[in-house]
Amino acid sequence: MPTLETIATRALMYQPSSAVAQPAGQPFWINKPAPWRLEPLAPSQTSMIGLESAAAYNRVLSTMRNQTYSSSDLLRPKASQPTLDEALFDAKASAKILISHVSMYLRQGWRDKLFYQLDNLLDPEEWDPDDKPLQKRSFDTFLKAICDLMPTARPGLGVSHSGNLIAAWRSGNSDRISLEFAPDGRVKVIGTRFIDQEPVPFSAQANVGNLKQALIQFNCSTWLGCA
Amino acid sequence: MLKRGESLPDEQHVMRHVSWVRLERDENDNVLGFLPAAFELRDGEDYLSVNWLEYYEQAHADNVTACIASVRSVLPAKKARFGVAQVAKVKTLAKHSNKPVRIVYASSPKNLSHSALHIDQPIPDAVCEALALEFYKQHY
Amino acid sequence: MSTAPHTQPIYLRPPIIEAIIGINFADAVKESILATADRRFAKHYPVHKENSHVNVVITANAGANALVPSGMQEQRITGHKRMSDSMDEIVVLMPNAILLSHLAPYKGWDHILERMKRDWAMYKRPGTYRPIARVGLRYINRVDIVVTGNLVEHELYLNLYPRVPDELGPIVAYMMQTTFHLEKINAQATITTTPVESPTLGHASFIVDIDVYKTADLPMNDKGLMELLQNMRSEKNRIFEACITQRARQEIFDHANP
Repeated sequence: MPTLETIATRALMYQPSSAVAQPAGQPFWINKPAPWRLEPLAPSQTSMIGLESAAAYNRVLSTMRNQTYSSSDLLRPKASQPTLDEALFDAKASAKILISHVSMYLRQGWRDKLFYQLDNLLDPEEWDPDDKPLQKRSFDTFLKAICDLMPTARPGLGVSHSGNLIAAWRSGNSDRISLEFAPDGRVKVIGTRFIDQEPVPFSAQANVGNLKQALIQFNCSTWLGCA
Repeated sequence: MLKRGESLPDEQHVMRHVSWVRLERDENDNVLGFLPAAFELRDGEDYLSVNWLEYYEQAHADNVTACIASVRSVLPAKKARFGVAQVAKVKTLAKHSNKPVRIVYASSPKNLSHSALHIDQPIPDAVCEALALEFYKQHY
Repeated sequence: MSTAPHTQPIYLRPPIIEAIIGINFADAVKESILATADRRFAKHYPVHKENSHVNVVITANAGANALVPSGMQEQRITGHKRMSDSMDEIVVLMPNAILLSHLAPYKGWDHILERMKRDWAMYKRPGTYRPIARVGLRYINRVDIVVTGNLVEHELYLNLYPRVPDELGPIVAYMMQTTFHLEKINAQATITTTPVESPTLGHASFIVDIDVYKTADLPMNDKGLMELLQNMRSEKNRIFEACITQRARQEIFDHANP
């Protein structure tokens, strides 16, 4: 059962909102209201732990209470096993929120097109129940790549069995490339270049940070309309 | 008729079901091909599922129709596509090591023409890409 | 009392990632009345999710060496969360609150206010309107700084950051929250700033979260409420401009005014 120290620590621990993300390796943080409602210490209790700590604790509570919730603070508790519809809806909502976070960097028309594609992609009637839903961190990797590459050509979208987003481009009618974005920032590059009408496949594993260089090395960055 | 576990003859054909999310599409969702991901194994899978066309013992076009109907009875998604390729070609494209590629008849009660495409794992990405291009040449 | 509108620079790339108006009421409404109110919002926010918030009260008694929890009560509050099809406009209806949220891309204050007027009129019907206990206006900004080396000189772009002894070396993480009293409108502002994982490569991102709220001398009518929100917005802008440098305006937000 929690001691006062644990309760005070929990006062600083919150559910992460969609607006912020926890950097890897950070212990606890982010200022969203906790699902715990903590009562101020009564005078008899403050004498046990020292007035300084009690005052600080009560100030934290006071600040916690006086906060305008953001939409992502008030999250529905996840069901123990969401239905397929719920899982796809949540995946779509997460992806659209991630898009909003980088909307200031997207070219004209990209946001609307991505929304249209996501609506078609995450269709419960077409979804294989054995597939994982679109993974949020995978979509995050995709958006990082798009904001870095700034392609003028818009891709077609797909999803792998494990819920990784796939973006595919064509050059003309035949040469093609697909990029599969993993949650850990890696990108699987697979493509085919037709030489004298013979398919010559190529593939590589890149990190999203050096994807631009990888595409240049394969001489296919122009397929994406990259500068 | 083959028995379960027997290899499909090289001159015959197999069909691969490709779900909507693994179709290569343009930005307006017009279908252009199959993604290589359509030929990747899921975690824990030992083989790629295909269907043996000549199981239905009809003309090729009728075999295709019957096979699609059979698969749709199990996987009813409307926007999925089906790709067809010859067994010999599949084995050539999928061979990437000393281990042979095998396509064996592996029927199940709900999927009578089901067969298993065994490729030495891990399957290289270039093999998935080559299979995706080949199966799309004859798609439905 | 109204404040003169703060002259707001125009930013071609505003850093706002979420803008929220939250109204809390003194009393809660019944679930049935809330459900009726929820249905009125369906036309503009067709996507619906039920929304639950759990409060846990732990009571504790003084023991020999530490406080000993003696009881725990869980209170589940159910409300409604509705979203537009594009999921960038959100309304949350709780028994004692209504919250309007707008995600990026920011469409401007006029849009936010028009939406507030429309949704407030929809919300206020017999049974739902009660005395207001709190009005909040919260803007969550994200400042993305281009990183070229190992150190991020955020102090070149932000005026709000912790001051620490040099001998401790560079900071690897922080979260800072400060609360101020706003004399002009007799309200408070809580500013929270913290680095966050940047959604784009080659950047370090910092949240500047400004929550302006008022819990006393609250308006009794719609005109007063809208005027208060205008004034809160002016104060929010003043605070934001004080928290950023001219370099941030020009290099990051694409300042449109010379």
